[in-house]
Amino acid sequence: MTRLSRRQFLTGATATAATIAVPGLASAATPPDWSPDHITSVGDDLAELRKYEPYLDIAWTDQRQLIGIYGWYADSEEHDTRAYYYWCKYSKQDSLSDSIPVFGPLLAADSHFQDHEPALVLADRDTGEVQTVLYSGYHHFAVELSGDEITLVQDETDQPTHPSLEVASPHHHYRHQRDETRGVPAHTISGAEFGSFLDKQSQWEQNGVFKSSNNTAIFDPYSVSELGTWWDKSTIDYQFARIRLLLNWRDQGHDELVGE
Amino acid sequence: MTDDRPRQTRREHLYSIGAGASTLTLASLAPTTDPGLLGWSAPDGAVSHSDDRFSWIIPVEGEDASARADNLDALEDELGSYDTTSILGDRRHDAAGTLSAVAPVDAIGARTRDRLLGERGIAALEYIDTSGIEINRTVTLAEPLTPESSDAWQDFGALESTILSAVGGGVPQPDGVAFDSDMEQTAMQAAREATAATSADTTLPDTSSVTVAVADTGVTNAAYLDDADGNSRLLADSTNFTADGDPTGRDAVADGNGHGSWCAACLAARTPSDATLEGFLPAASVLGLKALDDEGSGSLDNIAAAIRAAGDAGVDVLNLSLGSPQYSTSIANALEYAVSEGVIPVAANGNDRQATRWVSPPASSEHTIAVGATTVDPPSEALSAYYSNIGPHNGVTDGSGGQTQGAMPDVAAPGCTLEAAGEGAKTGTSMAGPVAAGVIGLYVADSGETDLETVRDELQRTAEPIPKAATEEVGHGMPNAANLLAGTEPDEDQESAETDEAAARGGAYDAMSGSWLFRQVS
Repeated sequence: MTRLSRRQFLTGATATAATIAVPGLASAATPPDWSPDHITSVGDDLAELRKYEPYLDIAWTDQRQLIGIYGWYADSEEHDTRAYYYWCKYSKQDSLSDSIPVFGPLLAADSHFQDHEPALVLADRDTGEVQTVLYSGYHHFAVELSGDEITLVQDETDQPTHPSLEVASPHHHYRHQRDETRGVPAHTISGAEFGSFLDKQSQWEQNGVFKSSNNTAIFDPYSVSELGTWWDKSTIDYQFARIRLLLNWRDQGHDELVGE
Repeated sequence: MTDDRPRQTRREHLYSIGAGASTLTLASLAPTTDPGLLGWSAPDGAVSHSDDRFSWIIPVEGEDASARADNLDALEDELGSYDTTSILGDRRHDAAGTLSAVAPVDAIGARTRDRLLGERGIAALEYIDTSGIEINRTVTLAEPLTPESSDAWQDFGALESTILSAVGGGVPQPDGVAFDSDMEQTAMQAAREATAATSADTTLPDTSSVTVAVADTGVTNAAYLDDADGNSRLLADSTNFTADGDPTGRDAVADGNGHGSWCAACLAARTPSDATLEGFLPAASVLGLKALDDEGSGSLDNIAAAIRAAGDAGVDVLNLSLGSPQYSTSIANALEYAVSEGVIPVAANGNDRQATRWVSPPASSEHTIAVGATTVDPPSEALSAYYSNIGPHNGVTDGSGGQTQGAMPDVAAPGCTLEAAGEGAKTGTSMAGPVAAGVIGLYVADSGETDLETVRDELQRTAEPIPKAATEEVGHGMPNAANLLAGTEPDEDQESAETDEAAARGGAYDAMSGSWLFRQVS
């Protein structure tokens, strides 16, 4: 599918100016051509994104690798929630295995998603109440928790809206952090950018970030619950990831994953 | 550079060596890698940084400037994904589609194993002009020759002689070539007379509309660059690419070497008190582009940036009295951009006929006019200088992967012990280049024409033959301003005017270039 660049998208959005304003919420723009038909508007206003940003309990070593947190939000004619979708991007690390002659590069060639870790919040469009939180619980397999199950921190609004997540080392997926005092707002993490996914989408696609992903999960936040994973299941990387699931003892466990 | 013979495209060349279009080409990496499955080492002169990182020049694809800008944005995002890379902000150029970055080799994906495994490093990204990725290197300008320097003529061994006898007419003979003893110090006026660029030869046009650029060791803001009112014609936008932040200003491009200033004086000196030292374009504006340090060394990155700057500034003629035996995709790309912006690049052939021999990059690029050197004599008497590089290029020994195969000199101009205003006498194709550029500048002033191919065709068509030199040495002959401005074609072209001696020498060079067997032993 041919997709508009950010520059083209902005130009087009300005030209059409057919935005759909949501009462009580930041205005949003006409969806880009990569979004599914039921998405009626998207947005990347940073103040709006801060309302549901995760509180991250992140170790210093991982914080140093965190390049930025990039979000967007979407409204759908089929859902009563607004989806707030965040990706944490981490720097690529020199792989120890890469130094192994011949086989090292092969072992290092599993850099799926180039270490971009998703988390999303579905919030009631009328009340703002968090309904569901989904996040990458282990190698891009999803964990789904209801608003009642997830630990939420109150900060930006008059109700708890920020999911409390622990960043697992070294793979940067998330675990439910039940101690709400451990995390910090994502946008405050020193050295990390808090920006727009809509700005980055075409660049990441060009750079192959999503080459092993299920595009539906990337571009339709409402699909993740049903899909249970961000993987394109026809890829070898997906099979690698399933093997890693079997070896999860190395990473000290993970939350209960959707469908696995 | 001109070449009338069929030449392989890069793609054809790649397929001929069994490489696919998605692999890195010999053109970009032959000078930058050691062969081998696992190993990699940087080439001589590679610009290195801490932690085994090097600077790389990375071009992107894109149909237009907007698409290239988007791709550069994506590239910056990708490079920003590594914790060991940094982007050199002042070397991003959206219109030309290139940026430079400091990165370890694995982030680039330039090792053999990276290519074999595929999809590793930024070289694997679809929007990258993979064949153009180049490690930044420092190249050193050959010192201008002096009468005290070598005037040796290469001896050929028995095997080489036998092969040349078998495939051609024997080894090149020195008879008819100019050595030191044939060169007398001469003021600039003699070069203008030799190229019919004096008021006695033709009605000289007002050159105040012309802008020339000198990419070199700098241009000192000397009095000979003042106009009649005492205002400097050295443009304030002159830029020093060898200093951090690329400072601009007349003082920023001061030349501590003299090489660049000599070229500027040849091109544009105004010397009302001594007409013998006046340059070809005494009213032209001069853009100084300091791409080489005062020792005559410069990086590919800086030189390419200077060439692009000439394009951005709307320069008419760009003098490039610099070169390296190794082909550079970055400089070739920069030249292509400058030409697309209406610049006429004029490049010196090189002073290494006895060793690397062939027209050196960037003169070997199709985007330059390549100039060899002769004695400072009228065409009928001029001799080709023993140091002046020749054609046709074999396309192999410069690591271009066939890009320069067949490259020839376009013309040759006086370049032996030639004195320019304030800068003394110098010798080399570096001096011949601005003489030819000066003639071209007169044509631009007269016609307003800045299309490279149109100018090249006219320059060649109107050049006077140099009978004592071979086409392989002097191309179409010596530029002639009177002919060029009048559109007059000489009675005889270079090839038909050659003496038997010159023709034999040219035949030997042809055999040396085209013979696979000779290339194996030489």
